[in-house]
Amino acid sequence: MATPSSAWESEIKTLSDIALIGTARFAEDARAALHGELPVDEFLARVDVGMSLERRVLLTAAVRAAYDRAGRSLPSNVEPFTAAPSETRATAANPVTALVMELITTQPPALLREALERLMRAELIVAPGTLPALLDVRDSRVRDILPHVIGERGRWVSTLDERAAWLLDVALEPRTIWQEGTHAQRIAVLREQRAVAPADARAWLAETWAQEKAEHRVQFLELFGVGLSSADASLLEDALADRSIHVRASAARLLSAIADSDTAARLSARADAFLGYEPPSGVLARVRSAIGSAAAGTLTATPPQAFEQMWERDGIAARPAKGVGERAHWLTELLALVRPAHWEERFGASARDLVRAAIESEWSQAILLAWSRAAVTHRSSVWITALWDGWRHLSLENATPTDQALRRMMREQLGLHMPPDDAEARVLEALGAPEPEMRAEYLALLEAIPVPWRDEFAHAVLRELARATKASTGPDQQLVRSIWIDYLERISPRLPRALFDDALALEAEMSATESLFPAQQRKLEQIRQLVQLRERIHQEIPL
Amino acid sequence: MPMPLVLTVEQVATLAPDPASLSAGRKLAAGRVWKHMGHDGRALWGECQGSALYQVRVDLNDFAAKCSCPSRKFPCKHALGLLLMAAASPMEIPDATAPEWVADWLGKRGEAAQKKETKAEAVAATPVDEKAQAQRVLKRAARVDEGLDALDLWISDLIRNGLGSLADQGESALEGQASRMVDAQAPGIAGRLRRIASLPRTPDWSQRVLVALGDVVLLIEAFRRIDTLDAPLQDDVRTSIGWTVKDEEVTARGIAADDRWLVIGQRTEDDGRLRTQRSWLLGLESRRYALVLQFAAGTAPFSQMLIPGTAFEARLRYWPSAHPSRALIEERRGSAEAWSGIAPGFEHFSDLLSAMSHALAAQPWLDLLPCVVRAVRPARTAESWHLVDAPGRALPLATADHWKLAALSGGNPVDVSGEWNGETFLPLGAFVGDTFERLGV
Repeated sequence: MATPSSAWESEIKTLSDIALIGTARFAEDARAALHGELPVDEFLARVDVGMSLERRVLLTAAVRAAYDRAGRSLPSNVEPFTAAPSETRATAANPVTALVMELITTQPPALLREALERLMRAELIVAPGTLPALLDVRDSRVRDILPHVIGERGRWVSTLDERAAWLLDVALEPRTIWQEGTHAQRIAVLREQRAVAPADARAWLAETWAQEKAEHRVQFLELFGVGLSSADASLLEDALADRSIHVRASAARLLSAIADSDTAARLSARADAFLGYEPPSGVLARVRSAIGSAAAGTLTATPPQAFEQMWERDGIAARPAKGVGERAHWLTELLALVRPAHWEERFGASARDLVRAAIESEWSQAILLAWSRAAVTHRSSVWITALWDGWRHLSLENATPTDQALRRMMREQLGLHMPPDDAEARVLEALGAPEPEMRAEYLALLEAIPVPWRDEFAHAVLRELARATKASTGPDQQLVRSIWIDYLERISPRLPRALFDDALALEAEMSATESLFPAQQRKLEQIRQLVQLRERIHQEIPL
Repeated sequence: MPMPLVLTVEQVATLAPDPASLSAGRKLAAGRVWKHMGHDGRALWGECQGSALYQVRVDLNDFAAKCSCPSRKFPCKHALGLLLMAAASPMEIPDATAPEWVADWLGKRGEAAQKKETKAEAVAATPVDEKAQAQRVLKRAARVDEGLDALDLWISDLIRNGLGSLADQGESALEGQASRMVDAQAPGIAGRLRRIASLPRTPDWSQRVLVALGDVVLLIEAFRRIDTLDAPLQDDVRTSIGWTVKDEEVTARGIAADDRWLVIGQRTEDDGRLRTQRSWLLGLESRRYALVLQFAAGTAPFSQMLIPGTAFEARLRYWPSAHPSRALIEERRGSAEAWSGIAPGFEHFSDLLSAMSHALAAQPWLDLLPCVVRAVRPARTAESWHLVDAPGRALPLATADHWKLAALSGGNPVDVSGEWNGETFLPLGAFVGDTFERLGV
């Protein structure tokens, strides 16, 4: 017996082709098309023959379609998905699943991250129903954790759904990704390889070096900043001969960080010509020294008068950026390639002393800029803190907008790399200051302090913030309040659980203030919800 | 005393009239804004500190809620907050005696329900003025006849001159005919014409239009011969034409069905002014199906809270039909509970197709058959998704994103509920382990 579907398809198609043009022009064909092979056609033939051709065409189409709907047959050659492997971890309970679904659509993504991190640590996996929504989340830090909490089911879904293909990249052979992946994937895999097998990472890069684009070569080289060792010197020396100035600059910078490399020695020696130091002398200095209050020595910088062609080899550009003087620019570039500790050794003075001396010198900004970059490259904690403090004391007279922007940027950069203890102390100091100045730089310090915060520190921060809020009076209190609300907003995702109640109490106090702007009220409400959500996360996912 | 709520947070979320209410409700699902919360098995209550102190009470039998706030949304954010808290942290809500303002409200609800029942019984009991009714019916039939005759001619002209003309300015022409049908008291036909107007231009467009127009002509033909049809089919013809049957008449003439009903799926359509909720119920004893249609304007509540995945005892009353499908909930008994178990359903797709042919044979204008298909596995080809049953036959799925179903199944057999329209299956829920997971929108 012919399957109704296929017979229907051809018979209906014939009828509809005729209907498209009209039975007026295809009366004969229409009549012919009304006769069919199906059992239902027998029935149709018995229908009133006095009916118009048009009605017969319509009724025939309708009846055949009904016949098809009633008697459809189904194909049997469709392969279902093969089963996913069974899970090795327990699935999170229902309340957690509901919470995760809520967090997917809640801002900021930090909350979802926190929940998933706790799930990972508790060795739980998410419920399968949440997988499509989770795999759609774009936040990169959420994506970093997802492979650890989606279980076998999650990996199975990502082999089938193209939108989740990004997840598979993590599972593929690293070497394959290096050879065939997208640029972003290659950066990620080289970074990982660099952490586990630096020699391999070097070998991979050496292989493809010549074919890489210049900007990619720079990015790959930058990855060598982690786990840098003298074994990397040879590859970096080769890179000094690269045709791109940016590649050379990057290579020179990294080489300067390899203590026993020839290049580092060369760079220090070269820079020595441009910087001199006189320790403090005289009775006053000795007295101050005796009571532990050292005076600054004298730092003399003699920037080069002309550009030397061979400096280009180290990635130094002859012409400076707009708004920067030539000599200042060359001085900065030359000094930036020197390990800060070199100056301590050479001049027999501490980082703090040298920074202070730099502030009082003629080329203060150029020197501080150079040392800041070097301090970050070499991860010199003492210098980072000293410089961060130093920038603050640099006089703002005669500072152009470019200068000011530069200073803010450098302080933020330094802030990111400051040792946590120093960062903590400075945050508390900022909160205790009578005016909340240089807000952005102090907030950047928060990034340097690992999460979760120490209970003591978190407690001190909230206490200081509460005190500062109460003390905000005067004509510009609205603005000041905004600043404190900003702080509370930045702080809330970082607090340890022990401090949630205190944070909510502080938020309630802030909310109770009179004449808050609607925007301020909204922000406070968001802070409250964020802390409450974090409380739920900690409650639902115990560790 | 048992936990106050056996619903999950997700199920409570489906009660929200719109996403804004739901997020407002979530913000209120925190212990510190609530005072004097309690439950006594029948009701749940609490006082919420908002801009004033609002009293919220929920009837646990059917989740109707009343709040003293001025909001015109139902349930309001305070009620949602209380329900979400009860679902997420039942421990926070102590056993207690219901205060006066809760007991009074429950009492009044009982009275109102009683009044409604008595009224329905009274209506059913009043002898209908048969002659007057017959006259009304004749008058209406005459108007419809006129309208349908005109439409009939128009459609025939269309076939004679070619559907191609429809392709160019079809939408306005069809809309014009649809308006005439509304005037002729045949809104069901108007709806069909509008649906034809909005068919997408797929390669098989002309076939679909021809079949749809043919269905309209078939309906017209049936209406002309309505007296030769069996009484139940007459009801179907009238319903398809678009004559509404009042609830009282349904109660008087429809078949009653007492059972424990599981809500196996739900879809809500919103055309901006009117929200239409279609809920499919499955009788756990009788294995009968029922479609409960509810309508609400704007953000007004639906009168019945039907939550997919919950089951409740009730008497349903079906619309008179040759294949009873649509029903109203005449009487709810006891509270709805989150249900875990095995839902009765079709073991093989051939059984589903067979059921469809029987249903269509009885009622040719049936568009959907709801069902549960058991132990099926999802599959995907380049063009479309399917479900595969134990013997290996593949049921095509409606075009949509089915990844949640795939993730829930993991390639293992699951039970799926949904709607079969003769061509494709639209999944509405999946039974995984002992939980019901909602699918689709």
